[in-house]
Amino acid sequence: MLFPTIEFGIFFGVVFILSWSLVKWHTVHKIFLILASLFFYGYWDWRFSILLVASAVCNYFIARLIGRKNAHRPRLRTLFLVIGVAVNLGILGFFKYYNFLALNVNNVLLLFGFTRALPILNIILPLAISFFTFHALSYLIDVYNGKYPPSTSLPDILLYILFFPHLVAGPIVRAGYFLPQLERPPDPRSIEMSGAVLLIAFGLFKKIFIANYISGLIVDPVFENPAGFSSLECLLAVYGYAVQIFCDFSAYSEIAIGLARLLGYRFLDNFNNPYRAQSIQDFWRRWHISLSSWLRDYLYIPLGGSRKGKGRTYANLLITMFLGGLWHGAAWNFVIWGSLQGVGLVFERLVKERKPEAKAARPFLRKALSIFLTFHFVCLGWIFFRSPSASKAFEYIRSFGNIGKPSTLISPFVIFLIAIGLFIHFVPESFTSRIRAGFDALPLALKATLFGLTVFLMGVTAPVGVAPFIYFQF
Amino acid sequence: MAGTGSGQEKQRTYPFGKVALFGCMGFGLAILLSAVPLRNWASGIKTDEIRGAALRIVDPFASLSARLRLDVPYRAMREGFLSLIEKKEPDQSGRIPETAAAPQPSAATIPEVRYSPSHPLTVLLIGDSLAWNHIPAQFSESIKNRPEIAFTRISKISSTLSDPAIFDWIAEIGKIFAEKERKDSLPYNLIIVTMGANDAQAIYTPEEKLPFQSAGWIREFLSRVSSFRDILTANCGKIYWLGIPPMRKEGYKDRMVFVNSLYEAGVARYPSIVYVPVDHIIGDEHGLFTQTKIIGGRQEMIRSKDGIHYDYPGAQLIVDTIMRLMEKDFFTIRKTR
Repeated sequence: MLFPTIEFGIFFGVVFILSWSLVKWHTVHKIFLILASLFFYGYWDWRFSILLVASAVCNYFIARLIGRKNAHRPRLRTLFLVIGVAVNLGILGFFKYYNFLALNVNNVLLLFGFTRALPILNIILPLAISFFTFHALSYLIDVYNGKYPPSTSLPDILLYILFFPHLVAGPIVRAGYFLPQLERPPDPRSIEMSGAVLLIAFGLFKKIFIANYISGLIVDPVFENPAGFSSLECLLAVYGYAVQIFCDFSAYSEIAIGLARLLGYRFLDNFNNPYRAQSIQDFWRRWHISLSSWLRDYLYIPLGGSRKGKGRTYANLLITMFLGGLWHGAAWNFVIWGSLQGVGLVFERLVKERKPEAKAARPFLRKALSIFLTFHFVCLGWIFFRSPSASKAFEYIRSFGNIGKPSTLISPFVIFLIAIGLFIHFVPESFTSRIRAGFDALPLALKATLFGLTVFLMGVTAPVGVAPFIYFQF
Repeated sequence: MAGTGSGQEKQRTYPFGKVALFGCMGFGLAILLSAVPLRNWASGIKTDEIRGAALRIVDPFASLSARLRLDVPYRAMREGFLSLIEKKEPDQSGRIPETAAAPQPSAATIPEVRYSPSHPLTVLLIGDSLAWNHIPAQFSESIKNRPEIAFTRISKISSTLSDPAIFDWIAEIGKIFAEKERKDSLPYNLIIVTMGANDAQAIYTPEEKLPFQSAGWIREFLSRVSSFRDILTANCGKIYWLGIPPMRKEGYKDRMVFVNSLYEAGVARYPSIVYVPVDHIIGDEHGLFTQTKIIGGRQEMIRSKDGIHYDYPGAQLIVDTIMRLMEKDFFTIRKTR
C-alpha cells in the first residue's frame, strides 16, 4: 500500500479514528496499531508478515537475555548479542545478498573450470527487510551497551519494529527515542495537527508533482539508454535524478513523520536541505540522517571512529561507506557508489588536515563554490546509484561526450521541476517557520478548506498511476 | 523547506474531535471536487465485491458533485494541465527517440530495400512492461553503430488487451501510426511486439464479466488479438511477435502458457508476422523458467528478481535473435539483389 493512494487514505482514516477511540485501553490501543501495521504490510504480501513478526519476537527475547543481570557473566551477554546480530544479519544476508554472492562465487569457480556451482535461489526480497533489520539491531546493541533496559512488553517491541509509518522506508527510529513514547498512551486532547498536515501535504506535493513527473519526463528514458541522448540531456537527467530521489525519499519521510504525529507519536527529522551541503561530510549530516547516524553509531564508532589515528580513521570511513553502499543493494554499482562516498570523505579529511580553516569565515563565493562542488560530487555518485549496473553507469558517464546529438527531452517544464527541486533547499528556515505559524493561526474551517483544495490540486496534476517510492527496493 | 522541516517549535494542539472534524471537512471538499477521478478509481477496482461497494459509496458523491457542477473545475483544470504537459512530454509513453537523427526522406525517394543513415530501417518496439526497459536498452546498444536502423519504443506498463482501461492498444495504435505518418510520411518497416504478461485476468464487456479462460473470454480475447493484429499488418509489412517468456511462479506460469497459445493461434499463420517463441532462448533446456544462464563463460542473471521480466543479459539473448532475423529479412535481401 503506497502513501499517496486512495487505498491508503481510506486505511489511514479508519486507523486514525479507531486508534484514538481505543486510546483509553493502552495495551489494546498498541495491539490495534500492531494489527494495522501488519495489515498495511500484508497488503503487499501477507506471507512476509510472519517473518516480520517472528523477527520482532526473536529480538524481544534476545534483548531480554542480553539484559538479564549477568554482570558476573559478561561473556554470556556478548554471546547473546552475537546470536542476535547473527540472526538479524543472517535473515538480511540470505534474502538480500545470497544470489549476488552465489553468482560471483560461481563465476570465480567457472574461471577455474569448476562447473558445479552454488544454486541460484528464487528469492523474493521481503519489503522493508533492511529497515526492520536496522531497527532490531539498534535495539539489541543499545540494550547490550546499557543505554536502556530491555523492554518487558512484547507489544512495545512489536510496535517499535512494525509501526507502519516507518516500516517500509524509514526513517530509522531509535528504540531509545520511540519506546519511552509507548510507556503512556498519547493524549487525545493534544494532537499536533497543523505541523503534521503541512508535512503530509508538502510530502505529497514533492512525490506526486515533482518526483513522479521528473522521473517519467527525463530521468527514466535517459538512464535507460544514455547513449541515445545528448550530453545536455545526460547532464539534466542526473540533476533530475538528484531532485527526484530527494523529493521522493524526503517526501516519504515527511509523510511518515506527519502520519506518526497524527497518531500521537514523534519521529526525528530525516533530511535537512542536503543539496545545501558545503562538503561531503556535511551532506551526510543532512541526507537520510537516520541512516547516516545509524552507520556512525553502530559501525563507524565501534570500528574505532577517529580515535585510533589517521590511517584507521580513513579505513573506518571507507569500510563504513562501503557497507553503507552494499546495504542499498547487492550489486556492484552500489558498492562503487558507497566506496566513492568513502573516498570522497577521506579526500576531504586529507585536504582539511593540510589546510584547516574556520567554516564561518568562508566568504560567499567560497561557500557557493563548495556547495556547487559538493552537489556535483553527489550527482556523480547518483549515476552509479540510479544505473541498473556498474557497466551502464560507465556507459552513462561516456555519454556526456554525446555533443551534437539533438535534445528531445528538454522542456521548460522539466527545467522548472529541476529548478524548483533545488530552489526549495535555499528557502530560509525563518520563512518556513512563518508559514507553519501562519497556517497554525488560521481558523479550523479555513485550514480544512486549504487542505481540501491542496488534495484536489494534487489530483488534478497527478500523473496516471503512482510509482513506488525509490527506497521501497532497499 | 527542503529539510524534513517538521518544526520543533511549540505548536497549537487540537483535541481528537477537532482533528476528525478537520479531516471530514478537508476530505469532504476534496471528494466533492474530485468526484471524477474518485469514480474512475472505484470503477477500476479489480475485485467485484469491493468495486461494487466502492461505487455504491462514491456514486452519490459523484452525482451530487455533477448536480452542483463541482466536477467542472476538475475536468477543466486537468485538461488544461495535461495539454500543457503533453506538449512537452513526448516520452510520457516511454518512447525512446530514434537513434538515427538524420532527416527522413519522402516516400517517393526511398529505395525498396536499401537502408542507409539517410534512409534508415524504421523499427518500432511496442508492448507492456516486457518492452519497458531491458529489451529497448539492449536493442539500442546493439544498433549503436548501425545508423541505417532507426529505433523507437512505445511501452505501457501494466497494459493488456484484456483491460483497455489501462491503455487501449487497439484504439491508440492507430493514432500512433497516424502521428508517424503525419510527421514524416513514412511507415514503420518493422514492428516488434512483446506483450501479454498482464493478460491473465477477467475481461469486462459492457454487458458482462468474462472470467479468464472461459469460452467467452477466449472468444473476446482472440477477437481483440485479431483487431490489434489487423491494424498492425495494415500499417507495417513485417512484424516480429515475441512469445511470452516462461514464468517462474506456479499458476501464473501456466496461465501465461495458455495466453501464449492464443497469441500464437492469432498471429502465427500470417505471412507478414514472424511469431518468435522465446522459451528456448530464455528458458532452460526444456524451455522452462531459469534465473541464470552461462553466457560467454560467465553465469549471468537473465531474468529479473520478480521472475517475470528480463534482466540485461537475458534481454540481450532476445535482441540477438531479433538482430539475426533482421539481418535475414532486411539486409541479406539487399545484398543479394
